[in-house]
Amino acid sequence: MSQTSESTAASAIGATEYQARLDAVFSVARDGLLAVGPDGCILDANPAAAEVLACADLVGREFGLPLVATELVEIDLPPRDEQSRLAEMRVSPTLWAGQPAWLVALREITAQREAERRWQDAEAQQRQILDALQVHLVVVDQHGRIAAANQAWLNFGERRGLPGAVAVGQTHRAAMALRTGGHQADVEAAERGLRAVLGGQAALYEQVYPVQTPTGPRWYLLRATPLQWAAERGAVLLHLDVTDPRQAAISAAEDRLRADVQTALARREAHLERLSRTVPAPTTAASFGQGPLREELPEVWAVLARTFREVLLEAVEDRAFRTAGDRSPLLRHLSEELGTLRGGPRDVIDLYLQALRTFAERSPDVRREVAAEEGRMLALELMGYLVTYYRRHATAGAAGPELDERAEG
Amino acid sequence: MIRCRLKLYITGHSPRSELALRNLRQICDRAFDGNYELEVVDVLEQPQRAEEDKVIATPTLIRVAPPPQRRIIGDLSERVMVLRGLGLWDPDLEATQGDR
Repeated sequence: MSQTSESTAASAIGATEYQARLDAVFSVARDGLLAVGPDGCILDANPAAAEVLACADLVGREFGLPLVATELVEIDLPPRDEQSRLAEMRVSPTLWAGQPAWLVALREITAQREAERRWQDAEAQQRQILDALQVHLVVVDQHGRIAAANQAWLNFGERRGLPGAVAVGQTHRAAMALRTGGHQADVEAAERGLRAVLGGQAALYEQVYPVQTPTGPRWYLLRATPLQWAAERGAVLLHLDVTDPRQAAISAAEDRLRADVQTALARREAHLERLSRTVPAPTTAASFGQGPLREELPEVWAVLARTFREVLLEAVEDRAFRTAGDRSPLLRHLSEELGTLRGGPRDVIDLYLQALRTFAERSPDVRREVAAEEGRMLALELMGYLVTYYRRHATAGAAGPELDERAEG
Repeated sequence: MIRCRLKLYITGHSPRSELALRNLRQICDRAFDGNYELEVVDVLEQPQRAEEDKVIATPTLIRVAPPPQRRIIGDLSERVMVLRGLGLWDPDLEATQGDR
């Protein structure tokens, strides 16, 4: 035991004064203080020591030679209320009543350790929660360097074969360059947004950007919000995969558009249906006491309907492929057939509607819409040829084929 | 021939207790070449033993034999410090054993 410095100090101020000062320290110290002799027995103890060691009568008891290899050592205290307790022990050589001794300082750290344990538990729990999240999450410091990252974020770097590029200590900018495949505009935009958040100019920054993956492009939402801890300012950055919600939103929009188109088409068909029923029986046919061709001569009408549908199909394909076919001969021939059978406007509309129904059953919405437009034009053209047919026969003074001829046809 | 008999008081199976026991066994294995007895007393399981020996805190190590009894408390990691504290430090023996 070396008490050289203590001996020197005691000599300088006098043994009595030295002891008086030690006594003063003992009486006011909040830590438990023991003076322990070379044999390990307690020479003196302050009230705090009695509290810490849960022992009122310490003087004269054997404490043991206190061993502290470094600055301090943790020792277990007698349990209180069946709860284990812990103390830090510091030891310093001293003189006590002019004799070499050890000054032992005891500070109970049970509550501190418990708080640390709870904090560590909470931190571990939070860590587990963050690692369980699929969202890629990083915390950056005020310089934009990654200070913490969850497992999903780190996994992304590993999948890209560059785990170091997204690791703690790297810049978020470098990580963005990896994520976007070096797409400079996205990298710069993210950097500007992050700077605004870090600088306090923005409370939130959001950016959607694509990430190329082996299975195709994925879309991510970057969301940066400020984070203040201790005296530092940083930001929390979430990179959320929004591919599925984005696709769902697009599909929903397409569904709404499709529904609107279907409603419009249905309304138009219903209107034409009503129109066909309000149009009186063809004058020519009515004069012969006939109804619509589709009722009077369904088999013949089916052939005419197929012809009209084929003409319409050609028109739709011409429009799709931007070609220009001449359908006039076929329509003229069809008008001749209709005229021969005493067909009229209602029969033309029936042909149009029948063709549209076929498209409605077999074609996508866009094709149906094109068919509706083209069919309307064809029906008008056919109507024109039919009018020409009747004019020609009226001028010639001919009334056209008789009913029995029509029946035979 | 048993060269010494020791009694170690610990509190439960805390990391401090486990570390103290591990350190002490290493020290004794080397210093006494296995010729020692070590009794470990858990004050949580045998509080009356701690009371009888007037143990105030742990880890407390008591040299039971050879007499007289000596006790140390605190850090049991430093071999020389522990052996000196127990009064079992033998520089000559250390020199013959070398740094094994």
